[in-house]
Amino acid sequence: MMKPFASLLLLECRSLLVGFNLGGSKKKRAPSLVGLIFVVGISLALGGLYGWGFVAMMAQAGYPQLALCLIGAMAGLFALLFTAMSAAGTLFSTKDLDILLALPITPRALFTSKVLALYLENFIITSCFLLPAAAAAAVYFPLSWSFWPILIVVLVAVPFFPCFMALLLSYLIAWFKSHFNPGRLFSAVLAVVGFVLLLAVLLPLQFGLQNVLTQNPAVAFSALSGGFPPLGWMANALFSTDLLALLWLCISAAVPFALEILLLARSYTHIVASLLTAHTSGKKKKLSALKAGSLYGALFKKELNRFLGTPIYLLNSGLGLILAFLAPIALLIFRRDALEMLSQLPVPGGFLPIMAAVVLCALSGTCYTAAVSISLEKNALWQLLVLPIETRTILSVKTLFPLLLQAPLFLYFSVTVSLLLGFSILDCILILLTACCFTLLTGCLDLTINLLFPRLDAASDTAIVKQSLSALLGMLLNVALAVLIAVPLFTLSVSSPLLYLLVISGACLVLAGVLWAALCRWGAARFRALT
Amino acid sequence: MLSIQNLTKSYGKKVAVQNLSLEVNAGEIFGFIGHNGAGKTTTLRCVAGILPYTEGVITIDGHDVQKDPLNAKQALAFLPDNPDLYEYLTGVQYLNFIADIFRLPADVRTARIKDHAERFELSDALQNPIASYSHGMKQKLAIISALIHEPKLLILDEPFVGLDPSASHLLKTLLRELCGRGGAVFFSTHVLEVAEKLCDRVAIIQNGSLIRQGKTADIVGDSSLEDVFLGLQEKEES
Repeated sequence: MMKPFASLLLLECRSLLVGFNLGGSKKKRAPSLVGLIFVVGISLALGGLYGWGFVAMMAQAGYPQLALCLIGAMAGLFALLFTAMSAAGTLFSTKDLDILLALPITPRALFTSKVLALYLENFIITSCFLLPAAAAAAVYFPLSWSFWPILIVVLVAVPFFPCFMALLLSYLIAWFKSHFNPGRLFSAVLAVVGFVLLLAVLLPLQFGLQNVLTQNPAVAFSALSGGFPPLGWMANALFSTDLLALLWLCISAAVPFALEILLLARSYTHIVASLLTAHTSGKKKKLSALKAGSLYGALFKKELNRFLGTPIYLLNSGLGLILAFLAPIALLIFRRDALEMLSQLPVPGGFLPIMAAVVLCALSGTCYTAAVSISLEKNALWQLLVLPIETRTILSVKTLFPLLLQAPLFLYFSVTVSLLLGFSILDCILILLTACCFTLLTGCLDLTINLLFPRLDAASDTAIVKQSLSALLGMLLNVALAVLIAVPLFTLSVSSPLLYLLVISGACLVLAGVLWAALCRWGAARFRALT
Repeated sequence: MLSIQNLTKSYGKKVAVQNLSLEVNAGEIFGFIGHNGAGKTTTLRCVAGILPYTEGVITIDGHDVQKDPLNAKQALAFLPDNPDLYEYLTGVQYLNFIADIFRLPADVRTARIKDHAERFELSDALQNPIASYSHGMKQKLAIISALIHEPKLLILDEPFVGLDPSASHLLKTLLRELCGRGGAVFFSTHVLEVAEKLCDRVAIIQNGSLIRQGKTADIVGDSSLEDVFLGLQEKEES
């Protein structure tokens, strides 16, 4: 019983390692290991921004429990957000299911091995928040010796909660799809609706709770731990060495999760079989007259169809776009609170256009289509190699696709934010220009990363979009670059915001040009060798 | 139509194809047979411009595959043994994509797609995503995509795998029609009976080297292609 399960678990871990290009020869592993370390470093830094920030804020109020409570909640929500969609892919959409289901393995063992892979993903995300927060707590508060061993238990226990929810959601969606066949974009639309609802709850809390957190931390802690007791148990276990609270945390994390696996595993095979044999409604439309298009048009349409037709891809690289669409709406609704928050930023008021450009670039950076574009070709890559298309043309389309996809959104964001915050027309144009130049740069950068770390043998699109090294590196580097745009504001004396944005745009264009020149030579040869 | 001269292709230290030379003339169906791992797919992929090679020259309709790839690829169509297509596209979207790459006019592509889809009984499925197709349907769609721009050279790797009997028969008819229009077909197969009946000439490859090529009738003689092939294998092994 254990040996097949152990083999399955090893298979899932190997798949994850291969996703990070850590399989294969030592020579191939070395650059991927460096990349992975970089990814982990950046993740910790970004998670640390929140974690450390919250702890530092609570240090003023002298209430560390609240800080860890908040970080725990945030870590769980982030993990849920990012793994809810990958759960469906990991459990129900991998190509190996045909073979695995035919083997003498219990469905429970198969299901559990895949769920544990999902748990690992949740573990990594929650750790990226909790570890920096714990480090900050060590700096700002006196900690007992028991804090660190209890932290290890907490790190293991916390991911069970978002994993539980992600598993439940994905199971419900899969059940629905297997019974009603609702169409390709169903999962993506559902996820977008869920995300918008989550934001609709979080944003008022964000603006409403801020004062309560610092002025009435005990009340806030009581409210949070009352609303979700494991948060309170976690905080009390860490700061008061409350072993009973730790025990409750572990029981509340593990028991429902174990029960969930036991229950859902019973119908796993049935749902997988239904999904594998699901056909479309069998539209029998007559073939109407077709329209002729150009070569570039055909390649762009292919990229767009893939983007819209692959829910996990759409949701993961489209999340930032959704936020960029919602941001001006949120600014309109919470204008007063937002303006107050902006006034507290340590930058002069005239520099708000720069901050707007940074935000737009950061959101655009999460649209890492170029970082997975080649990997997503998978076994279908032969078509691009055999068709009469210049390699440079193929690469140019993949590089420009993020810009063409987001350009209308950039225009919308620039105009609406400028109107709401009273920017000039020139400010608006420069925000738009900066975002476009930035996206050109990240398109070239991400494609380079994908050529360096391609993943053509993935079992599913989820493995590429969420677990491959190029996806993670691409997204994190993009966001880090966007944050880098703002750094000189705090370190140098910048006199003219407009000139600053112009210089940033120019720098992005120059760097994009350099990268493109490299792609034309090295990249084209590398692409052709991808067979 | 196709000329392969001294093709050598290695994967690291392993030589997959060694000093291979053959020619496929216009109007000819050329069969390429060999055991698993003999080098058939490697050869076909080198011809199709998918795999780079360091030694040899391959020309298609007078265009060097490595020096003038675009013109060479304009003249050819390739069908792999297990065609992985873009599953997020519908059948018609995929065919439209191929037609755009080859710059087929709208009326021409519509007529050809309709005609081939009807002949392969795929008309009802064209509006559905390729993800919902069976293996045989994907194979049929891939064949249609290879034929719509009427290539001069059709390269096929195990084309009959997964096709039902009527589709197999139709494919053979279409291959003959293509050759009748002055085109050529170069395909690999394990089904020696098909090769014997369909091919004008055959070549037998073993461990990366050509061991026999010529007119099918001359090679088969009074025997069968299967007997000849197995006899050659035994001879090489001994």
